[in-house]
Amino acid sequence: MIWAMRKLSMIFLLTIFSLIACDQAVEGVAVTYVVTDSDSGFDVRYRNADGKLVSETVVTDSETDVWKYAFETDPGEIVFISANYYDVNSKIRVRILVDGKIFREASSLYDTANFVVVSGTVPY
Amino acid sequence: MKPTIYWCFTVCLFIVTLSVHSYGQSVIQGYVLDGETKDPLYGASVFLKSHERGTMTDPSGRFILEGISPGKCVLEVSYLGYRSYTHKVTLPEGGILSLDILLTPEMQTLEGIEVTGFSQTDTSTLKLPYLHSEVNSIQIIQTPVTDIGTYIRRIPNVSGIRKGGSTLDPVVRGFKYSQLNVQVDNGQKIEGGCPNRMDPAIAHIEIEDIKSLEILKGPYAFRYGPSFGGIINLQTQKPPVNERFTIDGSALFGYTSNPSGTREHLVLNGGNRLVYFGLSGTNKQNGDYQDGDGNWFDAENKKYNIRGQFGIMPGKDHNLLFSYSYSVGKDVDYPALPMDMREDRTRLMSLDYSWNTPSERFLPWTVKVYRSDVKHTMDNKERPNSDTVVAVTTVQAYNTGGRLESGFKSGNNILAIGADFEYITKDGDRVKTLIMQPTMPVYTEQIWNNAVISNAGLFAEYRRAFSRLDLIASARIDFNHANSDDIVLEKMGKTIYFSDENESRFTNLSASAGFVYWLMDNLSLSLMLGRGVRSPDMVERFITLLPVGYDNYDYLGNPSLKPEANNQADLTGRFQDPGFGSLEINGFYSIVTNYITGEILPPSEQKPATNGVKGVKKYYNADYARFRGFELSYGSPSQIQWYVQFIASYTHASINEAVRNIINESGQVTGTEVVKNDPLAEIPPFESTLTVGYKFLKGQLIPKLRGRFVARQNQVSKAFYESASPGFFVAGISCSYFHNAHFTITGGVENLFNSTYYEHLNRRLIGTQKDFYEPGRNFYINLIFSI
Repeated sequence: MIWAMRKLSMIFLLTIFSLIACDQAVEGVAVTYVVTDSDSGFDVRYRNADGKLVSETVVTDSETDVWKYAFETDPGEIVFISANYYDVNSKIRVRILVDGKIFREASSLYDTANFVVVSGTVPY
Repeated sequence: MKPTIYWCFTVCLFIVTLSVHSYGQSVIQGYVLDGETKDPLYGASVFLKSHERGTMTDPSGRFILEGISPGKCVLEVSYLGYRSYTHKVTLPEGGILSLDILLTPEMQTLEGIEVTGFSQTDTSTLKLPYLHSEVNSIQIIQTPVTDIGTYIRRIPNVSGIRKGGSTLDPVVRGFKYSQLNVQVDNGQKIEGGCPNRMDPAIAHIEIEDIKSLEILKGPYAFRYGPSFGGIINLQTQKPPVNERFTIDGSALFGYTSNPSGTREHLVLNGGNRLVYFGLSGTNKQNGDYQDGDGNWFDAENKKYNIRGQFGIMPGKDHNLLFSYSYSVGKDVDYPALPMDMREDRTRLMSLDYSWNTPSERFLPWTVKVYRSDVKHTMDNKERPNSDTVVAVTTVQAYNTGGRLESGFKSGNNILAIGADFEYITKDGDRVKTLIMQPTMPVYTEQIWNNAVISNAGLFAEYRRAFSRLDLIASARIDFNHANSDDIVLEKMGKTIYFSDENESRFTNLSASAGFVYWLMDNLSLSLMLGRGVRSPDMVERFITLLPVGYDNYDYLGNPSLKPEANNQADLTGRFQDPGFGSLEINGFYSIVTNYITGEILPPSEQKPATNGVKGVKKYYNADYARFRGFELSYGSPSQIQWYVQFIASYTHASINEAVRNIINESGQVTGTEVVKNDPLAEIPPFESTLTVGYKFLKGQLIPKLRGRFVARQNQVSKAFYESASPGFFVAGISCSYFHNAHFTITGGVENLFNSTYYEHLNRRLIGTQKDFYEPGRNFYINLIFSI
């Protein structure tokens, strides 16, 4: 009987550890797109939480206005934001934050001809 | 899971293992092992004469007989090819009698090279006239190796193409890819997903689940599907069938220092003669490694696997076994390829039925049906070019099939007949996201477009044993059909390749015949002749402008390819003597007609789709290629305390005519030239291995020293711009301690002198001229528990 009990406890342990061994959950990361420094407004395109490309027109009152979009995603996912403006006297700064830290950033000054594109894949 | 939890568990397991050894009642149990190698003997008969009770050993060699009345009894243990063991034992009242029984081979055979076939129809007198290498789980599990592809490089004339830290692609005597028939448990096939073969069939089976690994060299054994260069058969562990209800388990814990890695493997088996089951799980992870000079190489990989088997024996002659396994590989680095594997999910299912007919005239009926599903995802997200283009490729590959076999026997005549079938489908796309473009355009390119290959075959194998002559003849006919939806490749929205004629049908006939002639009782000479025909595989038929070859070209499939045929001869001499040991010498010669390789297409006909490649090659049937080489093996006799094994092998392969581009110093193609008798690419050089050990404590403690010498490879392909590789010498030490049937510990040091070297078959790191070096010094330890 003692033998059987010890075997059963052994088997229970084996089963539990087998199940735990298969638990390979990946933790998500917080991503935030941030656009600043624009005093009149801009057009922005970004990849949202569902992986779709979204376009928005944003109007700002001063360069201290901050536009943000935040979502949770997994490591390896694409993050993307591009922005442009039409006021030749304006400027813009675009950042992608991953877990609160700057992952990628770019800016432009008095350049209405080119887009500011910031993108990458969330590090593993 | 934290490693500390595993180590706590290990300690608990160790304590329980030791304690269960001391308690229990009315049980006789133990292990039946090879007296020389300590390998478990699976299927040995254990019989208590006085009680008319008996059982068979499980794959780990274990047996148990419960409910035995105490007192004196006679235990008889027998196993084919070994001297039977009979012993009077006294069973203590209310206790357990544990025995580890060592059987002595009747005739000495070379360790790791057993000359038997893998079927029920073998007889002890009939030896095969071609080379058959076999290693069992005990030999495998004592090494630090965590994948099959890396392990099989220890077998004579077997190598592996390294593209990443693990899952090497096997090469047997220079034959590789679809020239080898890789299968699981006598017939289950697996189609890998990656066009660049980062997941060859052997990558989908965990080495910890292997009971034995068999390699049949040459185009000779046609009972397990088309055989061209050889068969690699991976026999997995099966749950034992016990007389009375029993549950047992085992655990393996392993650690390596370089790469830094851990592995855990747990097994639980149970049941009785009517119903039985097995459950197992594996979890392992490895980091990057350093070569002998301290340079780091990307080799990270993670993998886990669960496996379940359920068997029913409705009668003593009927056995039905259902097997299911699910494996997940994640984040596996392949620095020699343009992408890494992000995730691979593999499901393997099979149903095996066997019926031992009451008539002695019929061989057992065996039926197998299976399904292998692979979902493979790879990307370039950890490569520098992912800052501009993120490419993600997802491929689904399915292989469904089965086989049926039976036959007849009369006296010394055995005729096995049967049929097999497989149906392969493959589909997948590559999605490219241009993340530096303001509108983030996304393009989808086809990798496979509902590609299908089906193969149905009929086979027969005849054997006859005379007093000094063993004959064997085998043949099969295959009906092969392939098709794919229209193949369209668009790049940035523009069509750059289109094909709508993708169907082909072939009928292939393969045959072999040979004999073993016994010049003396311990000296034999064997000759085997064979012609194995194989139809082109998925890549050769349907790949669309991807750099899948050794050289830096985009490859284009050719649905009009003809099958290639291997016409081979093997001549083998064997000498086995109890005082001398075992010596085996083999030479082989092969002519492959309609050899499948790539020919250069002019840019006017097809431009490449991949940036940086030299051009486009299309698969075609070359005239012929030749393979020749030899293998030499020696194993010391089992009676002496010293253990000595020596193996050496060499292969040379060449193609009668190849065409290559002439490239000037600035990298421009200025023309083409024909190369006569060009060596084939990726052929391993001469190598030899000497292993010396000594058996202490009646064989419980065996330290071994292993030295491997590999010659420089100068025979390199000009057509593939292959580079010569330097020779090297590496040494390793290992020590195994078999405490009892419940606990074994193995440890050692690989690459003892921290040599900096690379194998000739290691691919170069992509985008560089840097060689992919092997790991430097590596310390390892494996703990194996069984209850």
